[in-house]
Amino acid sequence: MPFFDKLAETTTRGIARRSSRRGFLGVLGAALAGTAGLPLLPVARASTAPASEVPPQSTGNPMDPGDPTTCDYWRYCGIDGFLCSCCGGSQNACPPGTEMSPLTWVGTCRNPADGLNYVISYNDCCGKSSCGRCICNRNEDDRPVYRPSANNDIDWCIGTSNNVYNCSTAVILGLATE
Amino acid sequence: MKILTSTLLAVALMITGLAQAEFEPEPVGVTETLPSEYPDHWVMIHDFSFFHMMEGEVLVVDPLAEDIAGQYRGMMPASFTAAYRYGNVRNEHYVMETYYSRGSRGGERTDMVTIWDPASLEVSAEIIIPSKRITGMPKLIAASLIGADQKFVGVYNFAPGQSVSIVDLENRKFVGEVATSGCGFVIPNGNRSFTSICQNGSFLTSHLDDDGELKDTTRSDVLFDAENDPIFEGAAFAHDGIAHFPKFSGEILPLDVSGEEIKGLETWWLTAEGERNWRPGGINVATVDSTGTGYFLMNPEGGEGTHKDGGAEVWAYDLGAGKRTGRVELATWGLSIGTTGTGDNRLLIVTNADLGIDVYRLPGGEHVQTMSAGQTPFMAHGTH
Repeated sequence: MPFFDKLAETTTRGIARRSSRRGFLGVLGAALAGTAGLPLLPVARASTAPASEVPPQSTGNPMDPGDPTTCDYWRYCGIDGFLCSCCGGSQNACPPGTEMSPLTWVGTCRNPADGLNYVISYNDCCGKSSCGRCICNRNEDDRPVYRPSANNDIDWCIGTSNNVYNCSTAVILGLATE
Repeated sequence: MKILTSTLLAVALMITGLAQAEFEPEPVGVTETLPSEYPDHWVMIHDFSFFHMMEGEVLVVDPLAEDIAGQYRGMMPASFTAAYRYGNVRNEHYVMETYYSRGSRGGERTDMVTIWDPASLEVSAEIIIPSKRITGMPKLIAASLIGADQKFVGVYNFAPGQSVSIVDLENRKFVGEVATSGCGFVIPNGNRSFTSICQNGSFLTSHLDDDGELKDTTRSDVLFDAENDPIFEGAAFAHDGIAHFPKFSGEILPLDVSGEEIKGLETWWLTAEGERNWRPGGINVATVDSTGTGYFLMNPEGGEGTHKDGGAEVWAYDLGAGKRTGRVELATWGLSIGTTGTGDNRLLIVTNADLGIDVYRLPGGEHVQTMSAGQTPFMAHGTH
């Protein structure tokens, strides 16, 4: 059976069983592994895997745990877009030849290593068209576009040479204060 | 020479063979056209082309056709996270889009309203607008037709200063820019006004004159809690001039947009007290069909952060009464909804989690078929 048919069958059966949304997304996430560019943008929360069969990546810092090429990475709690870690950049740097937007929105994510909340700046990388890898959409604390400082739907390539969107980063600005 | 002779002989034999199969010579250079008035169940599917945003497109689709040739009737390019509107007064397609002189690596940016003829699917006109229209995920009210005569289209700008570009569609010209500081989007109200949603939960209404110039503005009280329970950037626009804006929680803020001044009405809930786990969610979560029935995409596991996750069912409402009239259990998890058609051909169009299109008949919700319409078909627009 062709892969895409199998995907449709398993996801439909998942819904029919009224499995949890997490479970449903888990099916999609599992199916995504090994398929670059399968378009799952709006439901990719906590489910996307790297686009190839590679070992989990690490930051190398035990206080910054997780794999920055997966949507589960703690800093990505409010990110929406292609992960720069899969695009030639990293969780806090843009791919070569792109330009980081100086403007963006900020959110707060909890670091499981120390249990503290950190302010995260979701800067987009700009100047080349969509990276197209490791799509990730998580919406904790996201608010509508008319509240731009709390919204991840906006193409934040603003204040750059042009607003062509390539990928998204998650830069730690510091500890969040209560 | 001998080779040439052999080749000519072979070609002659092939032509003879064709004649024996009774083919008439076919004309070269034929291009199809569409009917000027589309069958009312046709639908415009906006493929956002999220993985290569410069190549977005709006497809003209017959959702009841059984084969690909019948379903896919034509397309219009819609470059870089474009906005789309169909205008039934002049029977035109409007695409608000962005081009770069160096394509996918930037260069000089040009924003425009591109007007398409529905029959030829050729460009009728293009009107250059300030290069600051908002780019990002699609929102229904990022651009809206203003006035019963649809004389103007307003295009929301975010650069990050906020404003609305006013384009005179009748005279095919850019009129000017209306500042909407602290407020965004274009909700048409009355005949010459539009309203923007402000980040503190109030609304800013801009009043235009007949030339599209700003006359004055008015600001409402705070009508919703923009931090704890904000409204979505889209509504079920009922035929009586009431726009029913869902909040993240499932409560509805009805806004009377029939006059030049808007008015907030008494709120109501999509859900009963015992079913507040159901919340609206998705890309476009609310729509209205040609009878005025409202539809909302509902997630049974709603909560903080689920407002873009889509849903398992679409719930139908008598919007005037604030009463649920039906539930459509989706064949596949839905991400975005739209409607099209009249009478027996009323259809619910759902972008599903596989990014295919599911077609359901209304009001019963019978699943007609699943079809393909581009890679990321985020929005569906009927002509009704």
